[in-house]
Amino acid sequence: MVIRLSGTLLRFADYQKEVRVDAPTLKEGISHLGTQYPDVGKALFDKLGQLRASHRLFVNGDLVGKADMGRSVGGDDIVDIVTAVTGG
Amino acid sequence: MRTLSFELLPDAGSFTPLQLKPTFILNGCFSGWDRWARAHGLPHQVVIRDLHTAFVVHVGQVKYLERYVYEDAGALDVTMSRRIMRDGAQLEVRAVFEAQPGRPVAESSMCVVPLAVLEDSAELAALPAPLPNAYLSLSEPSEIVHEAYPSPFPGVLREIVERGEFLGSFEHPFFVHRQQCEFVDQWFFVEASVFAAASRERMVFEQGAKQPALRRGLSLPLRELDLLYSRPFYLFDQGRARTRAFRAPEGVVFVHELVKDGTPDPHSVVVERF
Repeated sequence: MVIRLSGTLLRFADYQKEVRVDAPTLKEGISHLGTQYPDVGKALFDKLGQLRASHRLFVNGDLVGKADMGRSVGGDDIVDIVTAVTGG
Repeated sequence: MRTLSFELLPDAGSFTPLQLKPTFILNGCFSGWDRWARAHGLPHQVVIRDLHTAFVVHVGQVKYLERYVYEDAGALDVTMSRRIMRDGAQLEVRAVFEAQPGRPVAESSMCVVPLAVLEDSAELAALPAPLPNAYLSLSEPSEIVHEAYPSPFPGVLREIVERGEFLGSFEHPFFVHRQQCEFVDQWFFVEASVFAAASRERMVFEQGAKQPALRRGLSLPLRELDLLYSRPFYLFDQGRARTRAFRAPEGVVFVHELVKDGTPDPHSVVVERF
């Protein structure tokens, strides 16, 4: 899958907009991203390893709920991580 | 209600040939609020650190009240006030810019939404939440009101589109650079007004010969500016200003929707009245 980063997360990933990750599921892919870029992991996950409410995940444009983090993803799938905040 | 007054000295870069730049006024209001907060024991950095509360601008407004050009420019007296509205879910920040006592030349107000900063969030990720009691307790009773901020949106858009004569449309791309962002990219994006103005100017440049009324968007001073921020733009975001111009009873109005590429809905809407 290709994970696209934007906003304040960019600086935690050395300003890479896209990171390719090989993993069978969305959860594992995001976890790999957090391993590769620990500061991204800290931003995305709380102390219990749960995705923070401040971030939304989209797979090919579709919002993914927490309950669906185990969904399968392929090499061509696009995952967007969006910081949820109103205004600005 | 507690106020704070301070002096601002505009320079040549603060003006167009016709008036103070909107960015000067908006930045003056935003930084004036910071001064107000420091003066009254609520520095934003402390509020973020100790009360886990940050603020994001949701609506911005500028009104030009009197002709004021570079040749007139002396020091401006800025008077700031701040009210907590809608039971702590909004704040109103207001700045009045006076060339002399009793001679206001412009005013600006902002609807600011408090955010609860998530614990241990290095990027200060946050979600809208009412002001905590610890913040409210540091405010005077006269500064806390039940009513909501009197936002011009969405009514202003309906009014212009329904009552105005459509003059034309235009699209202009933009790219968000670091210089255009602030500390966390998302609290106050004054550049929205700049992107809108760039689209308007290019529209006048491209279409002004065929539609002379558009040129009022450059030849007349701006009277009012309204900004709605629905979602933030971030570093490296690319998008476009979708601009429409209307002839309204009081003058020419430009409506700009700032849209991020790949998304259908505008992140910001800017209305310029000339």
